Amino acid sequence: MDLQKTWNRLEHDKLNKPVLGIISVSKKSKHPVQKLIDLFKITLGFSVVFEMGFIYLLIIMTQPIVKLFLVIMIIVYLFFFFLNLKILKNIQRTFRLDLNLKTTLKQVYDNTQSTLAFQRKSSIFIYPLAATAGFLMGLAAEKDAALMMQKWQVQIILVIAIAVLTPSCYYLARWMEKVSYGKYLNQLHSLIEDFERIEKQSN
Amino acid sequence: MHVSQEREFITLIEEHKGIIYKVIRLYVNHDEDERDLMQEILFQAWKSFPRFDGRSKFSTWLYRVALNTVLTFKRRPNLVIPHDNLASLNVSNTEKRSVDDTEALYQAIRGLGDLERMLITLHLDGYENDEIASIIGLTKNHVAVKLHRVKETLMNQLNA
Repeated sequence: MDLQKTWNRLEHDKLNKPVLGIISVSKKSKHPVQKLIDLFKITLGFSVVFEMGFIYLLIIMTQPIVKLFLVIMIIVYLFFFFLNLKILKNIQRTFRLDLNLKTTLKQVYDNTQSTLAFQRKSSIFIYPLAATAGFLMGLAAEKDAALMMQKWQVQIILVIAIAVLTPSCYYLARWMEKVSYGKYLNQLHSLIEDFERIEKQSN
Repeated sequence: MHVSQEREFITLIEEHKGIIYKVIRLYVNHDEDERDLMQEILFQAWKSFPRFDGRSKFSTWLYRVALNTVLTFKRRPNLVIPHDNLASLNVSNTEKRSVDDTEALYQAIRGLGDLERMLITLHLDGYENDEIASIIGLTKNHVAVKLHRVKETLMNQLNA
C-alpha cells in the first residue's frame, strides 16, 4: 500500500468533511490551562475579600496586640496576592498555543507547580500566625488579650490550638489544591511525559 | 483586534478551515467534542492571531494551533483500538481485503498515541522534519527516528 496516496484519498473522502452544528467563536475557553488561569483569578478574588475582612477587623479592634497580628496577616496576604498576580501574568504570557507546545506546557506547568510548592511551604509558618490572630480576637472579645496571654493556661491552650490547626489546615489546603488544580496539572504532566517518552525512545 | 484584522482572520480561516476539520476528524469521536474543539481551536487562533507575524505560512501556523489545542484539550477517550492490539485481531484474510485501504489507514492512525498521530499527520501532509520539530518541540533527529518507527508500524499493520 502506498501510504501517501492512501492518505490523499483519506483526506479527500473523510478528513475534510465539515464539523456539523453551529460553530461560533466563543469568548470562553474550556481549555485546561484556561481553567488554571481562572483558578488563579478566583484565588486572587478570595485574597481581596480576606484583605477587606482583615482591614475591617483592624478598624473595629481596639487592642494593640490584636491589631499587630492583623497587620501581620494583611502584609502576608498582600504578599501572596502579588505573588499570585505575578504567576498569573506569567502563565498568561507563556500560554501560547501558536508556539512550541512542549515549551509552552513546561513553562505553564513549572510556573504553577513552583508557586503552589512555595505557598505550601510558607503556609506552615502562616497558619500559626493566623491561629494566634484568631485566638487573640476571641480573647479580646471578652477581656484584655495581652493580659490574658500572660497566664500559662492560656498559653498552653494557644499552643494546642496551633498544634491542631496547623497540620489540619495544611492537609485541608493540600486536598483543596489537589481537587482544584490537580486534574489540570496531571493532564499537562502526562503530556509532557509523552514528549519525554518519545525523546527517550528515539535516543 | 482591528476590524480589518478581523476580516483578514475570517477570510484566512474560511480558506484553511479544512486543516481544522482534518485535525478534529483524526482526534475526536463524539459530536459534542467535535463542536467544542472546533470552537476552542477558533478561540485559540483568534486569541493568537494578533501575534501572527507572517514569518510562517498561515496554514502552518493554524495547523500548529489546531494540533496544540487538540492535544491539550480534555477529550472523551477514543473508542479506537490501540495499534498494538490491531495485529492480534482475529480477522480473516477475505475480510481484511474487503476493508477499504483508506478506512484501514484512518483506523490505524487513530489507533496511534496522540503525539505519534501528530507526527505522521504532519509528515503525510508534506511538512519537512525540521518544520515538524519546530511545531511539536522535539529535535529534528527525534522526529526522524520516531517517524521512521511510526511509518514502519503503520505499514506492518496495513500490510498484515
